[in-house]
Amino acid sequence: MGIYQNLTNINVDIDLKKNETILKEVFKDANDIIFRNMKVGQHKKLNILIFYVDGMTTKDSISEYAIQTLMESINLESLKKDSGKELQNEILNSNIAITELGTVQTLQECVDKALSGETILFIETCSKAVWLSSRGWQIRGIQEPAAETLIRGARDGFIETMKVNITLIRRRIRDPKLKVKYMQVGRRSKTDITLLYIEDIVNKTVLDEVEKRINNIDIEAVLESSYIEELIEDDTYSPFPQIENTERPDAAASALLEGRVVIAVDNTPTVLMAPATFISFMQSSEDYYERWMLSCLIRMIRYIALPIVMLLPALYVAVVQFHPNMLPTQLALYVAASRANVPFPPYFEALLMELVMELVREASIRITTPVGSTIGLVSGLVIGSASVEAGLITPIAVIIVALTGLASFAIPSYNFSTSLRMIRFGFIVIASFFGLFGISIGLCILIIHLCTLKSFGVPYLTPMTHFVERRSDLKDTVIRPKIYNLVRKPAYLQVEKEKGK
Amino acid sequence: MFNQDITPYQNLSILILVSFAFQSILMPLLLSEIDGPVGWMTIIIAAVVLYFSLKPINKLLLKYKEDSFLSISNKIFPRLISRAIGIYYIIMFLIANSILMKDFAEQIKLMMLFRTPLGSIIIVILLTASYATKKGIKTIANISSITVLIAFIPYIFIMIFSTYYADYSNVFPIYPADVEGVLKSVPGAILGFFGFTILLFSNSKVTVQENNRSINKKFILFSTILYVACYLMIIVKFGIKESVHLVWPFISVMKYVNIPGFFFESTEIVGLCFQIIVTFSCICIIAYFTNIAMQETFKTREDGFFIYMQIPILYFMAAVLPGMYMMFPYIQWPIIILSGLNLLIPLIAALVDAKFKKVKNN
Repeated sequence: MGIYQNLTNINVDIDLKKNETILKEVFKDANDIIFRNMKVGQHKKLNILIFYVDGMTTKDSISEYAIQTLMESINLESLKKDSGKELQNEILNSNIAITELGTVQTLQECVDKALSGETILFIETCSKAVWLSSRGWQIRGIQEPAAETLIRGARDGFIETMKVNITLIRRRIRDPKLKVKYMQVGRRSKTDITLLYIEDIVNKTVLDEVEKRINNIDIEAVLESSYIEELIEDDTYSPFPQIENTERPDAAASALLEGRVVIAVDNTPTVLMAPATFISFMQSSEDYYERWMLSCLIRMIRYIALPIVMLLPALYVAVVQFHPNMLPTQLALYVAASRANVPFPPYFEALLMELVMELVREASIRITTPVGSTIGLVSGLVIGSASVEAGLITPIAVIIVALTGLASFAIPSYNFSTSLRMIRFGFIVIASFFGLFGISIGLCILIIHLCTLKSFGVPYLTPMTHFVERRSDLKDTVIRPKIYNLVRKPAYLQVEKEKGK
Repeated sequence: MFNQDITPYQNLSILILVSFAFQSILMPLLLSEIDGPVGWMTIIIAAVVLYFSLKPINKLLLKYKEDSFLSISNKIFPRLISRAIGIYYIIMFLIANSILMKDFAEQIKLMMLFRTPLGSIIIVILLTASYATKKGIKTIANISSITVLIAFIPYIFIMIFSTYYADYSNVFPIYPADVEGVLKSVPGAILGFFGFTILLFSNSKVTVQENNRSINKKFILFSTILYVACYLMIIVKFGIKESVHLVWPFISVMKYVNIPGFFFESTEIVGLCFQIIVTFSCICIIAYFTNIAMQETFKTREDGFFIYMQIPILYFMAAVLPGMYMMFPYIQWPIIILSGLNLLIPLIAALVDAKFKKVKNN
């Protein structure tokens, strides 16, 4: 800002030239800032200065509704000699067909408003500027989120414009108790953040904690909701996510109805939901859209997939390397025969194949969608079969790794699935040292860590850690009860009103 | 909102887990001392003794809600006696934990890791347990609840499937019972209910103290059922003559369980994996309450750092002590003394407190 480091102390001047000079100095070399001097009023005798950012405003609404009204309808000349206050009021109370408008006192406020897409109107002799709502830019259409596709359920997804996202939630919960609280984070980015919650359901302690943590954020810029997630989560050293995220408005609405807090961040289609527990990462919106029996089956499959994702390669290493006596004789003989020509120990074989799998996965994500999936498929097949033919790995290792990869897709939350994939490497290493004992110790360490973890004060492993006291919550874990049995809010949230889902 | 103390049922999980681990270890003692399959009578006698002892102890613990047993003894006994009681509990916990660890490490070595030195297994268990212990009571209570959920469900299946190919006539003859053997093994059975000692410390950590009375009774009930069920399972599976020669009867049962469709050859290794989680949780619990005993005896503000003192002591004791199965012929008297003290110390404290109160009232 050059010589004007702090605009907060500089008030709007009655001299338009002075305001323009300061702002031009502030926005030096910023060619997208537009200043336009005009004479308005019925006799074109009143000087005004229009100030906005090109590309962030809907020019049509300003020129058609605001400027035209100022030029034609209002008799400003008669008021010119009067105090500036009345001039402003005349404009505010005029027939300008713009829904939102107001006044600002300092130049800092003018800059902030203009950078948010509003148009600022400086009027000769007025010590306040008028801002007119003119936010408007190209937005992406509402589409189904690519990472959270469903067979049955709504096809709309959040987009990068926060206000649209709030509308998508409002359309689902038409309740005046749904509160929307605006906040701003980022010294430079000044990113808009919204806290959404249902007033009479939300746990006030959780809400206050979320608000407090967001207010404590001191960061230059927030470019994605993941910044907020990382800055407000309880334990940043944990591999497990402690805040859930979604691009689906129905999932966000469901979280609100449970009594959770939803955090929407501008410029990102991903909203955050807090608090989150281990169980919530294993649930999907679709569970409640399909018939309950089918949903139960799907959930059970997910819980079977969970240990497969984490432990299967490690179990392969442990059994082949330390406990071959566990296997049925025929299988043990087959494993021994297939391993006869393989030069690598089982742990190296597992680590190698897992690494290949991760490389294929990463490559297929980075490359454009139709080609990416083909590359993933082809490279998986080619590398797998070629490695077996070359005698580098056993066919069983390929099956194990493929099964593990497949199981990881059964976990509905991408974040959570990634955490499990990461832990898998640790289990392979520990299994290579201590076999099944190592896996058991690894599980103990994992349980200790998860038992310590909290999300905004809620124990991560609840309701399993309180399975007697919160047995009502166990209903909606491994199985999905019938909708009419889901009358209670989750007990772990200790929500204000217990009933009424 | 989300308090740091443990819930009554988490306390129950802790008590049942600790007792289950000790009952598994002490099972050979019970089997070897009675001439006949009537060990369940011993268990029931021990349970009845403990059940009736609970009444004055519950009263004492409820009176001093915020205090553990050592804090209470500080208030009702002279300083020297209360210190002696504190030191007794520290030594007893350390011995119990080291025996548990040694036994557990030997099981692992024999069944899973033949070539790995015992010391390496012990140190891995110790370091992992110290990580949990340092985290505090809330974490330990959560671990206990999870362990009960993870391990006890497979145990129930193992118990159900062990009923196949079992000889139920092994539970007979009940009459004439070996009365002398039954009575002789009661101290061992009482020691098996190790949760009875733990509750003296854990009850003060519970959020709703009023429920402790019923929780402690439930602990005796559930532990007795579990103990009797395990005992009968071993008897019907092996018969008394064969059972007395088993080193780890509970694990050995898993070897002979026929689960339909289960294709692994060694069921006992799978069972041992669950047993590792149970015993590990138990080690964490005892290590934590050793910390508490140390804190209250030495009157320090923090308790967490005591685990660093415990690591070398426990390692040394576990490495030096022989396995439990080797010690059985020589530990008759120590078991009687230990179980006697574990039962009598809190009872005496309860009586002294009641008498002191009466004198004060008069």
